[in-house]
Amino acid sequence: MRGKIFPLLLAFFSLSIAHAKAPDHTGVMVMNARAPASLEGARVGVAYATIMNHGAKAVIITALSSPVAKTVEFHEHVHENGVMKMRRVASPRISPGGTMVLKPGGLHFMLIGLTAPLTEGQKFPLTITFNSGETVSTEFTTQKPDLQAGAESPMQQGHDHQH
Amino acid sequence: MVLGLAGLGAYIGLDSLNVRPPLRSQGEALIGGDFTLMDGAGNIVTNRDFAGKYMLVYFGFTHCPDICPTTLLVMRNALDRLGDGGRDVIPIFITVDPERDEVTTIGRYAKNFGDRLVGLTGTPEQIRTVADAYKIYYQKVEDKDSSMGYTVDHSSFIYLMGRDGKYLTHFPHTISEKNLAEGIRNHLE
Repeated sequence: MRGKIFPLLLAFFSLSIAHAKAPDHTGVMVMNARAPASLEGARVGVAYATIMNHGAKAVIITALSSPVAKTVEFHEHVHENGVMKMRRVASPRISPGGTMVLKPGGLHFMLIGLTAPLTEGQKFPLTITFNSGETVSTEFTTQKPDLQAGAESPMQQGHDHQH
Repeated sequence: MVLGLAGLGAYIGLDSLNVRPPLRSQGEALIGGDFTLMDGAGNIVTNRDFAGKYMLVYFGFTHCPDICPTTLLVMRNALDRLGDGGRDVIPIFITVDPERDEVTTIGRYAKNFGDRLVGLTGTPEQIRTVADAYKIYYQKVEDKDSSMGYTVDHSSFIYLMGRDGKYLTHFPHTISEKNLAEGIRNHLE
């Protein structure tokens, strides 16, 4: 029995923490990874996910990459007195036990210089590199834009980060 | 001018979630005015082309990842909800990034949001003129850290202008399509 469950658990973990390379893995889980279909005429796209740090140490995102874009960056929206500002976040940090929620109107992965349009149903990988040098690669699914996600609710920032 | 500046100050201070029309008590609407721009087909478009219609105006840019597209979709869906009653409302998207959003880009981009949306661009001077008329704050911000090169900070409100081209009300971009449809309907004759 034990002999059967362990490989299953291992398979589950390697799916959840796909491609975590080092033995003392990051403990990072990326969930709800999605992107809205890209728009005709737009040279940029956007992707969202929920990133959980189950590890004992804080993690900092140091690099992002995906074959669908020339560059991937971590950005945030700041809404001040009716003015929308978008800024790159240089060193997004997730505390031990912390969760970072990327969603419309808030934190997001910016896909800059799309190599091809993102179409509904399309899946693509996006790789996050952490300060430990470890990487987590996650499959993102392209969806219809979610209209309600950012609407009529105050923006929340369930994270801490360093600029 | 002094009145205008005072009005602008009060306006910028408004909580964006608060949908009160600003400064109606001063009698003269402070928002709106003449403009000359270019549509996605390269035609010159002025405010006079919309005389007798309502304009639902939003300023943004095509490098805007989610706020602008979501707002434009909400505008489209709100007008769909209004059906025939809203046929005289013309949705308009004016770029605050004329350098990157040239005629063909704005034309292709606007089509994402249905045939009704009029995408407009212009020279940097023309964009400055219309943004000033609508009391839109926008600012190109260089970001050496980002491969985008620069981004554009901008006010994010949806304006409803009347058949005479004058300001009726505005809505925050966070509004739901249902509330936007209601808000527009309240102003239709």
